[in-house]
Amino acid sequence: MADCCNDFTRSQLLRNGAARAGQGLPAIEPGMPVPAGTGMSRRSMLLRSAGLALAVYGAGRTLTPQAFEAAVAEAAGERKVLISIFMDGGADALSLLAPTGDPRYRVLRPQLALAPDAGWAFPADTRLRWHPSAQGLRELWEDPSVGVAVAPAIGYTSPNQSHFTSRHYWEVGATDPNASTGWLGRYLDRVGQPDLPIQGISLDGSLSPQLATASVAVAAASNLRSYSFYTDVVYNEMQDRMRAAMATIGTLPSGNPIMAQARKAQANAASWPASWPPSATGHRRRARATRRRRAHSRRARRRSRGCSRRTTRRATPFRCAA
Amino acid sequence: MTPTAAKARPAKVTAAPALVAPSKPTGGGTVPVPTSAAPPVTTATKTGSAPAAAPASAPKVPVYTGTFGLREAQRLLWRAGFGPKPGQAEQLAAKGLVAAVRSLTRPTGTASLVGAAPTVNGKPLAPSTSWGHDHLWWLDRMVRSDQPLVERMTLVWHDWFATSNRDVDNAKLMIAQNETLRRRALGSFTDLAADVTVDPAMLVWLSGIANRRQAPNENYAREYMELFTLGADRGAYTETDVRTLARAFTGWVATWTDGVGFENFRFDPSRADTATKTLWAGTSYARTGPFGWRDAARLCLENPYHRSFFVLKLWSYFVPSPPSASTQAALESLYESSGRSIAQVVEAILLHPDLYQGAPLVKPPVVYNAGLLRAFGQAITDDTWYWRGEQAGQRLFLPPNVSGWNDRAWLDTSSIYGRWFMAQHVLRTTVRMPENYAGSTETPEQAVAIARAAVGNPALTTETSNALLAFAQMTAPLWWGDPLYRAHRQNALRQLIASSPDGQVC
Repeated sequence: MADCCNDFTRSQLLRNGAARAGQGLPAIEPGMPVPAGTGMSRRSMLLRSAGLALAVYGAGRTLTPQAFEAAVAEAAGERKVLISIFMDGGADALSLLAPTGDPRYRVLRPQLALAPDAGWAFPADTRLRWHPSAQGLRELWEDPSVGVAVAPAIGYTSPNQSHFTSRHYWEVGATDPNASTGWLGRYLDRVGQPDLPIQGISLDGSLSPQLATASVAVAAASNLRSYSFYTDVVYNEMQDRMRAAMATIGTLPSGNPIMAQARKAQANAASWPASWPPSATGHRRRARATRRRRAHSRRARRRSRGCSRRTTRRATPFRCAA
Repeated sequence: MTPTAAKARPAKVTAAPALVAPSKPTGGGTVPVPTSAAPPVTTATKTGSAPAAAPASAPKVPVYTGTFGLREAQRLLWRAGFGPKPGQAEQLAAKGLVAAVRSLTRPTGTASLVGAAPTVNGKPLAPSTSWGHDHLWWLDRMVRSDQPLVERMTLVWHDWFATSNRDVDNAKLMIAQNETLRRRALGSFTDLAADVTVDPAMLVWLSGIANRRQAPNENYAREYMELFTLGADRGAYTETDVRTLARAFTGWVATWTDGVGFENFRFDPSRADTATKTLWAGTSYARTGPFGWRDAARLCLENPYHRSFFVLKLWSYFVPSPPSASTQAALESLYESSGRSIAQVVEAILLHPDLYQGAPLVKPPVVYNAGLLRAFGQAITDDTWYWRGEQAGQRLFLPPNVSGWNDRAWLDTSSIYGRWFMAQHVLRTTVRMPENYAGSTETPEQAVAIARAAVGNPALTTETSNALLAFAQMTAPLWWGDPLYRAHRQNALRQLIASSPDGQVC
């Protein structure tokens, strides 16, 4: 949905403001050595990640591999899915994989610096050591059946210390302040289908910038199972036709980029349930069980919100009870 | 609450030669900066040399001279408020442009809340203690206040100085901040920025109470310059200035009480850095002095990069395309000459041709929500709105981060879902039941007209109207032998109109 937003919006303004990172600062601070990890070949990283469904950076203990598997199975059935998890916040890379033998490290981290033999060795680059608190991550990294890859020493020249600039660069996968498509979105623009929002989903209240595309449809939804459009006292065929009209209105052309964005969002929303992929029997069974579980907790939640009035599809026309 | 550092203010300030203007006032924060020091504007093509800034020949902000009819009045009410109540756009249109705008920008006295007070489960709201009631409390003000622009500007400032209860974790402090933003909504930006700087919620949110002489914390100083007053990467400040400004902001502290949270916010001189500091070193507008928090807040507004940042950012809340170079210059000039008056700059923007002739703007989710309630004359009677707001991407008092809401994410599949159900919930009171639906003989054309009227006759594009008519026609012939189904069609039409893309922009 990014193609519609290249004009002037407030967010764009901030982004432009936070744009030309580090202009006027020296490229690399004088005396700064090439950071450890820089020499790790791209190939060694790719080899470690090849053929894997997941590449996890900085996963905490609460996100178990089982949780990932369940999520993948539910979302895709037989298909392969790439899950990208963005953990809001920050981790000090110099602490996570610490260049304990580097004299500059002690200067930059006078309080936090690890002893030269603290933590665990990092065989891919012997200049770095895992932080003692990163044991879980290290275990995943060492387990070939999990295959965690790490990418230490990522940065760019002349950072301006703005959280927003750095995060933006990460999201778009380029040090381009004006880029408006994400690194995943650009991939979908090349291989995706124009009107299949399910091909790229943010399981979130809003679309992840990583997934922002220039042309193909993508989607965001915080709860896939309840993603359905209905209104009171509209049932059966009328409900289907209402959704069809919703899609029709959404696909009306507009020369105005903002109206076009509003319509496209509606079209994607309306077409989504229909584009939900077919799945294998085993997956259906699992999904049914999950649905039952979730419906139960959804009902409980609705009760707690004092919202019991949910209209569901009925086989017979509605009749007022009273 | 009387910080001693502030008293040492202007005496020792040594401005760079270019800025030692003989007429420089010493008291206020309204020193005009010579235009030769004006930086280039980010999005316009203007260069550093603005037109000669003699006050008499100060550039005028253009004023819209076209028709000011119903459409224009509706747009004004959506951009400067929360949409019209029934009949309100007609009344405003009758006033003419200037009187209409002034009725919004020049409110007198305190606001009245018109209509039934909000309730949940039949009880009054408890905004400081019940989850979600903070959102409902403010939404209610947006619906009922007779000073809509004051509420809208409060929302602008909530986004501009975005503070989230996620970290503040104290609804009482959040609501106190909200009252401050409202009190200063249309006043002077100098006062607003000073008040925000020592606002308790802000002091918690951006670590002001952790910022002390012995261990300066840069959080507030960085965001104050980057997001609130100057903008990053324009050459307005350096990393050294961030650190220096952080030292100037030192001294505030609060007491932690278990079960209460932070309280007793106060200025403690022993934590304040009173050493001499230099800001913007090496520039023609460098300042040196024993600056305290008040100076720090004000000096950023005197930095020559501030006014262009302020004008452009404020403009972006009202108009979705950048101002021309001459409009930008005229607004900057107005901002400085008016003593950084928010009301005067907003008034000029609301009178500007671009607002009426340009493209529509996405309604923020909470604005759309308040507008629905206003159009239907509904009071808040349950807590649906806060979690629908969350689904639509805007939960008040919980902006995603200090840079405010990302308005690019306000229209995607997820947020559309929240908006759809806002409409569904407001329509629940007008649902037509098949048993007693009086329109059982209506034609498709009549059905569309009735549905439009029922949701307040919103503006619809021709192509949307045609699509609605096609829907009404298509659903007519098959099983329409049973007139009862016309009620279903009516309900569907109302939903499609109330949540239509046409209604998500203004």
